[in-house]
Amino acid sequence: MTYWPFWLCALALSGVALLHWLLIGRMFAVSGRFTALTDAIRNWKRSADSHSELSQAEMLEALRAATIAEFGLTEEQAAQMDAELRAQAQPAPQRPPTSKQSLPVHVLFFVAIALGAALSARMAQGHADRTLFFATFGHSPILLGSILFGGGLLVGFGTRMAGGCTSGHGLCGVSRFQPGSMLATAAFFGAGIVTSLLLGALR
Amino acid sequence: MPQCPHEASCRLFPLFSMGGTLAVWKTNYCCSDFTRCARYQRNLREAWVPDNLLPNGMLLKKVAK
Amino acid sequence: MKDSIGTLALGLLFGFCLHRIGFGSWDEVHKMFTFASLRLTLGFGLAVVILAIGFSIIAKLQHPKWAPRPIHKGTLAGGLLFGVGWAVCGACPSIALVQLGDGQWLALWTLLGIVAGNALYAPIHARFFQFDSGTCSPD
Repeated sequence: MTYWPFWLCALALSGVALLHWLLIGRMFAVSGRFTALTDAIRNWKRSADSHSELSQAEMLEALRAATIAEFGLTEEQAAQMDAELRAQAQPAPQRPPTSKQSLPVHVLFFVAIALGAALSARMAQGHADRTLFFATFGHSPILLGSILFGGGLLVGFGTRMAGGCTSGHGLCGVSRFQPGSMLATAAFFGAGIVTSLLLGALR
Repeated sequence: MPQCPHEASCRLFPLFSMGGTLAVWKTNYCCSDFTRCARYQRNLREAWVPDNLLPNGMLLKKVAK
Repeated sequence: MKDSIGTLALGLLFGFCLHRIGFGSWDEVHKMFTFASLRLTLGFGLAVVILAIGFSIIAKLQHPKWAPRPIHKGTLAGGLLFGVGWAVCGACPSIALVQLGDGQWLALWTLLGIVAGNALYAPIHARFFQFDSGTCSPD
């Protein structure tokens, strides 16, 4: 199929990343969603116990009780805390960090990506090219399956270890000049270049 | 004074900044020995940190009326 | 609710764009890494430039509290492992889903590998690494 020219690619990638912040109020980071997904599965029972959907007011009310219990405040100190909280009742000028999205929303995002790609394939009446792919690895389904599973393991493990992938580090981290993102992006592009050149030489 | 390196992205730190009395959490954890914080410790083990987990290991729960 | 609709719309848009960009094609990713085509490299680079301008405007207007992304002990090693994996299976995390939508059923293996690799990291970090990754609440 024919792909978009480079400038349209740039507009699309940056547009999605900016809209993600403006619409959902979270930084665009896909591997973080995978981490949230696997964590939610691992903590299936405990997550029912976590009230991450508590509103700011409910959090503060619970925090007031917990502070008195933990530090044994006198009535005078508790009254002072209430006065301070009332004084802060106006919305904070700074956006508070939003709470994490729940498991169904992450799954929704993943399904939507696949549907969007399916829509594009249908409208373009074309599929992504894999001529070089089969020329490199052959056609044995068992071999292809194990290579892709092995590569996927590296991707999943590496992105979580580095704390981000192409979206979180590459797009949104580098553009905000975050040192961790710049090092990670240099590392995965460098490793990708070396690996691809080796694969090309083996073909 | 050492400061917890996770302060900027912590969900609870902004709440601890809402008044002098609540800052007792900061003086006991975030700005002194943050390695005692249950959130920090769970994160070192790459375990999931619930938004409502307090530094002392308790979970913030909706207050029954 | 608003959150779910926004997430759904963005996912659809992202999947559509990634497919048209050609990131779902092993061949295109391979050509990017071997410098046989500069289309994706230029596209990615220009996107970063546009985002740098966009995010600096947002930072001025909204003063958002973004989690910093510092260098830690896993940054370099994790990045290298990810780069090797990306070149081998032609997929960064969201691309496995794009490939599935494109009808590449082999990408099920890639997706399975990504989820397994991600899940596997947590106990290995707890057992062997235990370094500070710089944030309790990643974006």
